[in-house]
Amino acid sequence: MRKGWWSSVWPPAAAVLFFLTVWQAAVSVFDIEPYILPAPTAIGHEAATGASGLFQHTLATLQLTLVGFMIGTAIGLVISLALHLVPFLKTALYPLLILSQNVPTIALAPLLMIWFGFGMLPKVIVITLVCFFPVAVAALDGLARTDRTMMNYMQMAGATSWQIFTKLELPHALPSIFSGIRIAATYSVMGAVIGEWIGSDRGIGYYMMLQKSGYRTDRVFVAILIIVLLSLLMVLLITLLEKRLIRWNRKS
Amino acid sequence: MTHQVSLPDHDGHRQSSTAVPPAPALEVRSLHITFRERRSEVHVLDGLSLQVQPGEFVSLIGPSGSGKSTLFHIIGGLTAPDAGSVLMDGQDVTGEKGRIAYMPQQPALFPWRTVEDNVLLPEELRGTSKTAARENARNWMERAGLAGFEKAYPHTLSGGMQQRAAFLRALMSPQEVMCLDEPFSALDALTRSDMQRWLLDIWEDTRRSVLMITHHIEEALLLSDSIYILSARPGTILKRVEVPFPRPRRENILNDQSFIALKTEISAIMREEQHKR
Repeated sequence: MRKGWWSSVWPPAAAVLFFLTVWQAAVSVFDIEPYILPAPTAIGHEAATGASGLFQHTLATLQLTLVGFMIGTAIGLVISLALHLVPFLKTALYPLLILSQNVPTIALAPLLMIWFGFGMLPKVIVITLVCFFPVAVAALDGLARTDRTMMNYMQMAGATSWQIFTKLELPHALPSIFSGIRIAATYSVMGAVIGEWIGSDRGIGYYMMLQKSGYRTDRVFVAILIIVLLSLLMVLLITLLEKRLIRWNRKS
Repeated sequence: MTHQVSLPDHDGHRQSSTAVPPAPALEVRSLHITFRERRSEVHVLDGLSLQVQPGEFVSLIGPSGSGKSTLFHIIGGLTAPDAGSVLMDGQDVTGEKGRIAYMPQQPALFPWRTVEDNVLLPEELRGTSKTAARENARNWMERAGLAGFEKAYPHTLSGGMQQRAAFLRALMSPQEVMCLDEPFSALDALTRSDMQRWLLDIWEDTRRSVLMITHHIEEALLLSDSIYILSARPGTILKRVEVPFPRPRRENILNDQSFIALKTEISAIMREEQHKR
């Protein structure tokens, strides 16, 4: 068991270590300026010394991410349920939903700032816009692909359409819904950072912009590291929730 | 919910109606159905009729693609026939859903429900309290060799156990008529003969009215009171065979001369039918 765990962990760990070593060596061999590419050790040093000032920013971004993610996911679920339960709505709105994704949501952010100012609201709207879609589409897909033999059984047994929905379609779609939610979780961090780039006075995105104008590339790298960690944290949270809710074997 | 554990109540039923023979638990009257797909027409059922008396075990046997599953969809109310009707206890129920206890070909257990909750699903759909049915379910699960697996999820069970759970789910259904759609076709030969003996045992205790689809002649002869032989498409009844062996039956009737004679007779009819296509 432990051996299996170790054998699946060491190859990627070795790959990362190798990559960092090449990076470190390249920086000193080619004598690259730190404002272009700082060495991994320099980034590590900056992360260790400047961590205290970053805590507030990280917290602000995390809060924004969570609020936006929850609202976005909720709206995605409500849309998918409405479209699933009312077939007419689905034929009318599903193509529009797909089409709406050709509008680059991020490009709307400046517009939202003009309309809603520089507070939390426009950023939450941006995150909601990027989050709802993967959830809605994955949920609709899962709900539409109910197992035929189970469906036949339910109909033969005289189940009402509400019983079919709550006892068959919804639980059957849960794994699919969760894969949509997992995508939304990573999108939500991205949405929060971009929202902060465009207009904010705190958060990791704001910190990044600030360091960019000072050519503190090492600090930009630290910010990126934190964003990656935030994304991983979100995915971890979703995976834990999924494990709690889906206790049966997904493969069968 | 008493008829499930209590021994046959249809005996009393029969006595009370000695003057008039009781209406069949399930009767199918000259069903016709044709499926149209683009330009081709598939004539699936052509005037199929059959009867299942209360407490009778009836098998329907026929070549594959002869419309057996379509017949179940019609009886279950999922598909409307072009002509003909489905009657239960003399009442026209054509197109009505929820009138039969159904066991599909695949176990189709819900993977997110424990075995016990799967077995109790029909109760739940009916909106009755599950607590009353739970004890009943426990008793049956014990008889089905599922004791200790009440809280297990279906994927942890073997194919035979899943099939037994699916059968119990049908048995626990409040509807009188059970429709079994090739219940053992997905199992290996050994498990299959085990399951046949098990089903024979359970059925002889409960005496529900059963209509079973199969293409296994021996299985049909071992379990049934009567067997309908279905033609190739378009499906109609070629012959109805009464199975004379007394109950309770033991497996040794498989070696009985008359059993073998019947089996030979039926397989001759079926082989001839298969060659006609």
